[in-house]
Amino acid sequence: MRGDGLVQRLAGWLIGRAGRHLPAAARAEREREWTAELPAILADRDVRSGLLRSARALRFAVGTIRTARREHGVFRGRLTGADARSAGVRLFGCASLWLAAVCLVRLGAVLHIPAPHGAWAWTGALVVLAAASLDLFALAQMIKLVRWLCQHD
Amino acid sequence: MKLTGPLERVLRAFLADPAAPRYGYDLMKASGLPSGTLYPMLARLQEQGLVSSAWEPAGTDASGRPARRYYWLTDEGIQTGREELARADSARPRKRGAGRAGTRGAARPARGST
Repeated sequence: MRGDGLVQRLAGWLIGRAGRHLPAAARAEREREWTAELPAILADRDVRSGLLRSARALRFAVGTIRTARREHGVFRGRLTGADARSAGVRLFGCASLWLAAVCLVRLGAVLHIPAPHGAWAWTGALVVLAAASLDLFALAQMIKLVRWLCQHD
Repeated sequence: MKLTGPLERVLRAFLADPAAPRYGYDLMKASGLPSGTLYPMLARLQEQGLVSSAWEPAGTDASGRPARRYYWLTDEGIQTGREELARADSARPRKRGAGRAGTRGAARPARGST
């Protein structure tokens, strides 16, 4: 029983995560609907093993994240203002990180701080990898913002 | 309406007893579909007016479980579902036959054709 409670809480948390992908108007109802299915899954007599029932409940909860992502398109078919705002904040974060990195490099050059001996290759590779990831992430946010702007033309 | 495999399974689950309202997990079990496929499909069918839904009245169950949302086919949904399934059933043997005939005739290129 205690295990069921834990699974139900974990599944409930996952359903809550799924709800974040939905527009506010649909969120509460969808979360209520999905949460109400959990007792039926956990008490399903057709599945004998409690472990399997728990796995099923968690699989169901994970599936709701997919549902929410898909339904977001069904309900709106486009990006919301909240999506655009968070894309803007993320983009600002990326730009700030870039600026901070540039400032650090400039500061290092001005103060003639020596690089750690023999660590150039690794440091360089890490910096390139981090910069590429940051660029890709920033690009994705820019695309989101442009899509949102196009919607509100 | 394009009858995909998952949609066919959902329609068959509903049409097994068209008068019975079904809740999500019940439909998942009957159709064998995961929640990530079933719920978007139900939302789409509702948008098309083929499925309706309603919350069960609070306190219906003595065990105190939360109220569920039930789904059922509308009259239009029952009619469309039956037509689509009948079409799929009648097309199936023909497709198999056509496939076999196709492999005999077309799959093997004629000698000297390349």
